[in-house]
Amino acid sequence: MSDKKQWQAPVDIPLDQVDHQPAQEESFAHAREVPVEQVVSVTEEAPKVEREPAVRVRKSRWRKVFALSAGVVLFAAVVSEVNRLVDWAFSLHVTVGYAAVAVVTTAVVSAGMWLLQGMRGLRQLKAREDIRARAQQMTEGQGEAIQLIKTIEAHYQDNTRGAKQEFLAAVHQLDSAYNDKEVVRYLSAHGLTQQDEAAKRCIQRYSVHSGVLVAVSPFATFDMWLVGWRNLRMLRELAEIYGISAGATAQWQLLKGVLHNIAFAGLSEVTIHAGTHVLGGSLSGAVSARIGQGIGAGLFTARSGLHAMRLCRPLPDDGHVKLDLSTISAAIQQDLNRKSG
Amino acid sequence: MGLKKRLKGLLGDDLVDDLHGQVKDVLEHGLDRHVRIAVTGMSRSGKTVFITALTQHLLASDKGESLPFFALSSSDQIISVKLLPVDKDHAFPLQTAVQNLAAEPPTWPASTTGLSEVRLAIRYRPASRLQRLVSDIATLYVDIIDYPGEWLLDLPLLHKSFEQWCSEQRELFALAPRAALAADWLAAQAAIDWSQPVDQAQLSILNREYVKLLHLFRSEQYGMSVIQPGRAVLPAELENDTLIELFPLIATKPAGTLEDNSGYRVMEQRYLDYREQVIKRFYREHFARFDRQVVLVDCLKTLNKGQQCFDDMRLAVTDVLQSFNYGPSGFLRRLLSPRIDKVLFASTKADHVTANQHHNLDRFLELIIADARREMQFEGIETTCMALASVRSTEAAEAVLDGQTISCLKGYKKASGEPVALFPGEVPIELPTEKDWHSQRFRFVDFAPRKLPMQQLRPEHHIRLDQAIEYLLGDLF
Ligand SMILES: Nc1nc2c(ncn2[C@@H]2O[C@H](COP(=O)(O)OP(=O)(O)OP(=O)(O)O)[C@@H](O)[C@H]2O)c(=O)[nH]1
Ligand SMILES: [Mg+2]
Repeated sequence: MSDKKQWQAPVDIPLDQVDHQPAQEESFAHAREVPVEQVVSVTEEAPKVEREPAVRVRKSRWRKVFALSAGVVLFAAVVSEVNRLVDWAFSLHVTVGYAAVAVVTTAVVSAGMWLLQGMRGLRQLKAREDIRARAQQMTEGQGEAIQLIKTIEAHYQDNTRGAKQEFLAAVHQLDSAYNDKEVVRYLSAHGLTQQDEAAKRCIQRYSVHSGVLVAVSPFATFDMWLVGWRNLRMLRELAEIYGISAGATAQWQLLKGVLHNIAFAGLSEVTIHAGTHVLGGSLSGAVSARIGQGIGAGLFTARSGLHAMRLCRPLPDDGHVKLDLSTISAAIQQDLNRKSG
Repeated sequence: MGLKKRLKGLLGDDLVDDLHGQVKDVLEHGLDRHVRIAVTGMSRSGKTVFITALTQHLLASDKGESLPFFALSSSDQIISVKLLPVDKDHAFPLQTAVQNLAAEPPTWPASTTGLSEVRLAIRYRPASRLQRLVSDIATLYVDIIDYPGEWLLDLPLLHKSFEQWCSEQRELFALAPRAALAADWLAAQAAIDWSQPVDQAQLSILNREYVKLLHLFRSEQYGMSVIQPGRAVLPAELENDTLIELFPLIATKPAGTLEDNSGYRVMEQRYLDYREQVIKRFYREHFARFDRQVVLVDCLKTLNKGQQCFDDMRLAVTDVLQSFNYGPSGFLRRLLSPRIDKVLFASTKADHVTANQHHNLDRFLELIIADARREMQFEGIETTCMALASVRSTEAAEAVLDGQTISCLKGYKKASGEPVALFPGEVPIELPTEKDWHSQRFRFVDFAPRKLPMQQLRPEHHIRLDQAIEYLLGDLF
């Protein structure tokens, strides 16, 4: 008798006591109503994966002292210099003085705003990473996804380019029978389509651009700068597409992530790379070395773009973040042929 | 380019162009793939409903609305899907089934009594550039056959001698509920000396009794699965044929050498004839060439009925699955002798339980198919388990009882058509104990279908059918 309460017995319910749930909205509100015991057992089953501890580079104490003192010196220098500038301006004429003050204030305020915006982007990026991690840990139970959806929804406050509407539309389409994992998969596939498409178009455009630029630039030393420049612009645009405040810090963070990824690129990506080269080559006969470099630069840009896309998406990617790299090399060649022909 | 010109110089324009066309043709046909899906399931497990729903959703898949997890459909790559004509006597009664499900009130298809086939052609735009180099359009042909679940149980007999079969049946007949139900028949059989010639009339009587018993075993009340030979309960074209007058000899094999006209030898000969002329033909014509397999299992029935039903089902499923060809199948292998390289185990009728029980249903299914699955995985076959409903016939709802909110189901009873709302109980993830089987732990009722419209199918008309399709076909595009 003591184990009687281990399972819930079947119940017949008088029809008039049933709240019918419309398929919309409430179908996932229903998903919350999982018995508490179950929720607990589920989290127990899926223990958090311990992050690999990063190798800490020990920082010297002297370095800190140096950085601090150098910062103070620099700050003092700047302040005194600005002070002198203003003084000098006043000594010329009062109006010039006020103008100088105005310019300096604008510079300081805008710098502050810029920094703030950048910090916001950084926070957003970090938050997305957390959301992705949470999404990845969803189990086959029900009831956790609803929290996640709320979090993501809150992220799309400013509704950039109808992103929020699209996401909410997908949420409405969710079926009451989906488990948490399926909810995440569904939203990743159907809730971000417009943004994904825009991002892919953006990557395609910048890749072809940088490929062509490199191929036609006469100065080999410029190439790196060209590619870097296009890449930064692209990262910025991608961040904006996914509704991330595209300040310099966010851009920098993305760049770091992308570079990290490229440094540790898996073998599979390298093989895809080689494959597309071969394909591109056999299509057009011999490819000149210059064009080859162009294509290389284009593919590099595309790859960094794809990785940035993964970092900006609020949901993990299962196969949506991909581009046919061979179309990029083909487009670069076409563009060049058009130009030369 | 240069090569083609030189060839033209050597061989003449026409020939080269012709060859070129032919090569292109071959390449294009190389893209057009053929896949045969085996839908396996005991009787009343939901094969016909599954095939009907699958076909109907696929036919509408170019609209990309009802199968969100079928990537090809949701990415709008499907151009069109059509039914291919099949031989008239063997056409799957799709129209009837669809009409019945769309009628007012909608009804389930009738139990299948013969063999039938559906052939679909899915025309799509390949995604990979490599494929597009060859052709912008490709076609996948899908063949599915439907048959009465009873016949499936004949397949294991292919690998068994009469003696083996009898000894297996002997073990079964020693258990409840068979032992009690068949007591009279067993006694009558034991009274006969099988080493001597046996009167034909006597055999007929025994056979008639045996068939009656089989019908009783598989009735609602007992729900047994191992019913052999299958044609005894569903003869189709073999009605009144002496070929199917066959039953196992439960008494041990008589000792000593046996005359050819002894009762034992006569029954053995019948068994061999049945195997040769009925099973082997059926197997060779319809079961030998499959690429993918769906195993449909009605887990809820076993939970409703109890331990014996569960054990019998497990035995039947394991036994049947040994009759299929498994093994990795490369491209050439597939052309020459196809083998099943992917198996989907599905517990059907997932709409009979609340959504929060689907995961448990998966786990429970794993219990039933554990042995069969292990062998497949050993052969390197990809397998997965899924709870699905081909035609979803309940709605999720919730109710407040005694201050507690519980999620429940709303639907119409199959038997009476009256509306019901209930929480049908939790699906266990381990074998229930003796006590649980007999308590009022489960109450899974059969539901009448909800109307399945002919147009505008939506994802809420099924549960996970799209994921099943993606699993079965997704890698072939
Ligand atoms: N609620 C619900 N019931 C189903 C579903 N599929 C099958 N059923 C029930 O199961 C019964 C049998 O389904 P069929 O498809 O005819 O089974 P079968 O495997 O073809 O059976 P045989 O032809 O006798 O071998 C139906 O009459 C329904 O009551 C489903 O998706 N949902
Ligand atoms: Mg049927």
